[in-house]
Amino acid sequence: MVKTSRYILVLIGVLVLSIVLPDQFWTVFREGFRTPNVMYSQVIDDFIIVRSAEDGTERLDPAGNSYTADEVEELLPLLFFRQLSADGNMPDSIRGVPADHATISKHRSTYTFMPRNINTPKPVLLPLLESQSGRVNLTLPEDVFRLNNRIEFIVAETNTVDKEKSIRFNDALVDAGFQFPARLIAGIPTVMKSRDEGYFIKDNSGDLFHLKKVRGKPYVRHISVPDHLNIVHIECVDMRTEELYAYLYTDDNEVYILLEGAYYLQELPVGGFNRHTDRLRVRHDMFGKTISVIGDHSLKVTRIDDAYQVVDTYETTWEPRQKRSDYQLFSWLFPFEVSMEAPDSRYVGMYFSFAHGFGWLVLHLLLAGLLIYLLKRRNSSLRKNSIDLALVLLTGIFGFIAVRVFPNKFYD
Amino acid sequence: MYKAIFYKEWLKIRWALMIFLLLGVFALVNIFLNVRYGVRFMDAHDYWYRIIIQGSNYAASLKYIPLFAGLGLAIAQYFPEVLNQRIKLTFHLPIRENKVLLMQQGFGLAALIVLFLIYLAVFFIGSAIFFPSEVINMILVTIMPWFLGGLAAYSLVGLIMLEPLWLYRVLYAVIAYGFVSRFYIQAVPMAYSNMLWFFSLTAVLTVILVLFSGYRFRKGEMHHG
Amino acid sequence: MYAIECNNLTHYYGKKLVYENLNFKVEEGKILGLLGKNGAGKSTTINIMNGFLHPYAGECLIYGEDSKHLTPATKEKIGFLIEGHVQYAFMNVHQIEKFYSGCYKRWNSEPYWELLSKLQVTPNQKISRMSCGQRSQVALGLILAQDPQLLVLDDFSMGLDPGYRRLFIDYLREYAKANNKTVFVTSHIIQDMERLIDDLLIMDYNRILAQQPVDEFMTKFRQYNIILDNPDIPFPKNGLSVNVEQIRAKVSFYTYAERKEVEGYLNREGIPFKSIEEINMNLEDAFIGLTGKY
Repeated sequence: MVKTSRYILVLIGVLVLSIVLPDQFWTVFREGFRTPNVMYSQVIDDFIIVRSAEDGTERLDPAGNSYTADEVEELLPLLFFRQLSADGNMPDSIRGVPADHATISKHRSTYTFMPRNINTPKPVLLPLLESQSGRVNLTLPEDVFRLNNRIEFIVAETNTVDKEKSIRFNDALVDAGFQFPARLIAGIPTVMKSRDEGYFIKDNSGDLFHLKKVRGKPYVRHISVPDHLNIVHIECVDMRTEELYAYLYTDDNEVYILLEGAYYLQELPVGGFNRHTDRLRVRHDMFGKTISVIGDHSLKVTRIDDAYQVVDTYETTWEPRQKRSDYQLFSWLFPFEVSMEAPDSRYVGMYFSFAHGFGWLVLHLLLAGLLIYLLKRRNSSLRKNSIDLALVLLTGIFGFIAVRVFPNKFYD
Repeated sequence: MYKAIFYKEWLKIRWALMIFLLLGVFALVNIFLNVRYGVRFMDAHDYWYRIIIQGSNYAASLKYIPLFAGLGLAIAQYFPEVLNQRIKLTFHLPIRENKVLLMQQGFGLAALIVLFLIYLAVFFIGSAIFFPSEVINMILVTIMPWFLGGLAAYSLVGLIMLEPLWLYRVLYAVIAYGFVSRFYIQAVPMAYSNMLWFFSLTAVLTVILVLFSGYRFRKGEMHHG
Repeated sequence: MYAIECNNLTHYYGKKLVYENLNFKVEEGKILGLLGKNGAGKSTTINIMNGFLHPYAGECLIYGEDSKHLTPATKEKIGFLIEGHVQYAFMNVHQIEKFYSGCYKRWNSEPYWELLSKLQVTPNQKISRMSCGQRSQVALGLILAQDPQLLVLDDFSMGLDPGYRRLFIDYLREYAKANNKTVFVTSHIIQDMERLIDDLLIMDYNRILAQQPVDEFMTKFRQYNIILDNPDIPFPKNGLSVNVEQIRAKVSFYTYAERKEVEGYLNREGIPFKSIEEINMNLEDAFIGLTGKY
């Protein structure tokens, strides 16, 4: 039992050290890295790539022509119109379309998806706002709703269910063919948006429904989803152009947008996208969208026009981070690291990441040798320390410190 | 024999237990007075919104109380034992040394768990007045690691205090700090929901850790040089 | 069987030798005093005997059982008074009696209350708020109530007023002899010790200086005061001599030899002296004579 308690302590030691030591390592040795930024120029009908180079920032087009910062601003009037206007360099029209502030900014928005958007605790209850109150400002309702085997509204003031309203909305859902329980729900539960579009809900059969409250009454709209699409994640957007409601992700890593009015699911060209590892960035402008799929060491950019047709694509890769000198140094010191937090999740967990390569083997052998020397000096038998030795070979510096902090000194 | 050991432990911890009972209940009453104010005198739905959507935790001020209770109880229990090496008296009792240590540790842990259950009962009763089950559950999952951290801290302080050598006490304390601080990571509500099993398991496993430094004490590690 | 039997006990603190191959036995019913200066290894021995220290080599048997793994049954037979009369000081006299009575099958509270009745303590007074002397009585009372076969008392006289020391010693001897208990005491204060112990074991840094019944030691170990003719002739420190202290012409000569032997020895060594006189010693004098003043 005493030996068991020691092994528990040693394991706790290894765990703590494999969290703390790499963390300290990164604060000292982390090399900054910026993902290249790729934008689409309406002036030259081509991509502009802005990225870090050895001597500062590099601004290029795919052909390799280099630009100054000022030139880049002029090539990207839809992004830099405020600066260009201030300088008096803003063109009156772009591609023959009059380009005033109002039009540009109305169309301009950026949507970003990150893997941690999926791996996050979801709100347990949601407010259903009034979408046509006749007022300019949105207000929070007096209640929130739960949605599982039925929909129920709970009034905050009294902490009781509003039975009448619950039945009304439940009936509306059932009448529209909604099959409980709900599988997914997405909306924008805030008043800080241009308008309210309620929620998009995936029911038990895999179909989508749009639920809103319109002048106190339920609005439910069934949206048919092709059978082969298994929607696993929905993110609503608040676009003043009223072009689309939401971005939808399928388990095949396809990305769709749900168009307003027609409730049509339009697929986006995001080939190779992986929702567990990649970021997705969509820049909307008055002529189309620039879609960036940002992976660990690659970037794929697709330009589509306002009819969702591909205009141009650009791909670039860079050195995988495992090859960077800070990661190389890491792999000589540590076999792995544990982090309680991960960039891809808002959940606390034990996230293991293993070193790239086997450089750590050298240190592990040295430490095992040092341990053998220390044991021999104390006339301890190696057989009684075989688990410690194995641990040092396996976990290196973590195990070595842990077995020394909790000494393996047992009598008889 | 059980009765006698438990009696001794009770004499040591009863004041600390009482203080932390009052402190915790006072903190909880304060929490629910604030909640009441929020619900009655501000807009209830705004208050709810802040909790449910914006992730504000109405029980946040409870955060370190279970930790302090764990530390306090361990100190109340082990300080009188290590002062003048009185633990020798305990080890000299006609009972196996590991058994008596586990009885002490088990009693302290049970007392701490009862204390925490009282906190949680007050928390639950207070919450049920103002919030639906989803919110109570969400906050419960959020504050649970703080309680488990209190249990782990309790066991680890026992380990540290029984260790006969100061150098090792410091080393244990560094590891213990690194470990226990994992229970108190600043995170979104319910962030720990996937890890509660792991933290519960470790909190339970730490009960036997005191055997390690107890053994080192018994074998006279401080006299070996 | 012996109550205590230590065989070839060897211990180091780090590289520093405490003692090597220490051997001693304590018969049942005897009172043995382990006497030595501070740091001579008394506490080490007590710790090993009670299983609080794993010796470097050798063994210590308590009623035939290796002290490294004392069973609860054996521990029940041992009454242990820790150096400084350490007890659970957060308890009062009633609480501590209640606690211990639940731990020992043979518990008999009579001697405890008897000893306590002599003290001016209030029932709710915590032990931590008692004087050293009062605490010693509480600690002794608890051990007596435990009714052990073997009493191990570590440096019990430390910090006691002469009155309490006498009380303690007299009560203890009377009790031990009446109930045929074995007692093992250590002390660095020798005063009054001859009233208590039957056998002595005198330890110095890493060796044993004497190990015999007190009576035998007191009759055989002698001090002679010798006045020399010529203080410049070096006085020999070997042969019959156990210890020699010289202040100019005056020599205190400690030996196990009789007067005639000493005189013959001095003559043979060619040490002229004016006078030689045997001095009566109590145990404390003998102890200092044996171990030296330093």
